[in-house]
Amino acid sequence: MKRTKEITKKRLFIKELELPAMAKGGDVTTLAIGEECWKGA
Amino acid sequence: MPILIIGGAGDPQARRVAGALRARGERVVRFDAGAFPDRTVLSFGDGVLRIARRTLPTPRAAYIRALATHPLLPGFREDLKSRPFGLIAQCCEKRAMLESILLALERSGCRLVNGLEANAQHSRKPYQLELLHAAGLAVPRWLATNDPAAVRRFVREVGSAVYKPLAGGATVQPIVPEDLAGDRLEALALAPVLFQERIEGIPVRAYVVGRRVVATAEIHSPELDYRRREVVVVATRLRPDERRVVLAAAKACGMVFTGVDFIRSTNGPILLECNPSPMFAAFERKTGLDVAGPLADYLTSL
Repeated sequence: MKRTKEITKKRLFIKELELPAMAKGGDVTTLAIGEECWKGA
Repeated sequence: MPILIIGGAGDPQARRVAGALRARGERVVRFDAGAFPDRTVLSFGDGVLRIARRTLPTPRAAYIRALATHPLLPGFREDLKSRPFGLIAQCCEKRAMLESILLALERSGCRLVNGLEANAQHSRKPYQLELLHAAGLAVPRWLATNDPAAVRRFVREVGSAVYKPLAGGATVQPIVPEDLAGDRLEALALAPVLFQERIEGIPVRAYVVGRRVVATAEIHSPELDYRRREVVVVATRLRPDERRVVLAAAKACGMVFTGVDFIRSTNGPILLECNPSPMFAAFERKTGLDVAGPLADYLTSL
């Protein structure tokens, strides 16, 4: 099915990048960015 | 021959493995991926690799904790705002250099833990789910799509669903009625999303090294995605069926070191993900279990 409506709202369906620094808790693991779970170290 | 560790200078996982290797009498070379290229000099040509202007003999193994090449990493935040095109190009160039070196090392006999294909599964979640499914392992029903009609049909079929990014970088969220109403699903025209059947049960993290499960814990959280708030992390023993599934999952994904996440459900273990570069330092601290030691033993055995 082709889209006929113009995309007017440039906002992703997922939460747009919850950076690890913004993620609460999560020190057993955290969000992956690229190939790694990164805590800023 | 030395064992190479690639990761941020302050990364607790890289530090733990380096310490465990040195305690076993191994020569360790650490490469701070976060310091390259602005603070560390690296050259590769005519078959010779030089780190900080010193020639590195081909390591017999390399533990790849992180390459630090993604433009969305927190350290690049200011550059992303002020010079996005330059930053993206710089990250591509950095990745090309590091991955070329790692692939060349692998060709020369260095064992990568994990290999680049396995590492890339962090940001290829539908592919990994397909690998697990093809191996006959239980995963939640899933659909990666940008088709709103397919999403509505999928959610009707599975009843309770969640969604997550295909490539990582955001937490798992439940599908609520508002997600399926109005124009919310039009956002799929910007990027596809991974939708999954919601599985009830207790999340378990199991670390596999080589062909062994070395540490396992239940992670209790009031949140759908426990990464938001880990309330209790408690060591657990796997049942024989869980152990078989975890080992089979690591094998299916081609990972010699992994943190396998599954749900301990009433229908048995349901796999969520195999992490190719898992964090484990906080897990060790909270459970008293050792992951770095078995990983060091494995690297030493290569």
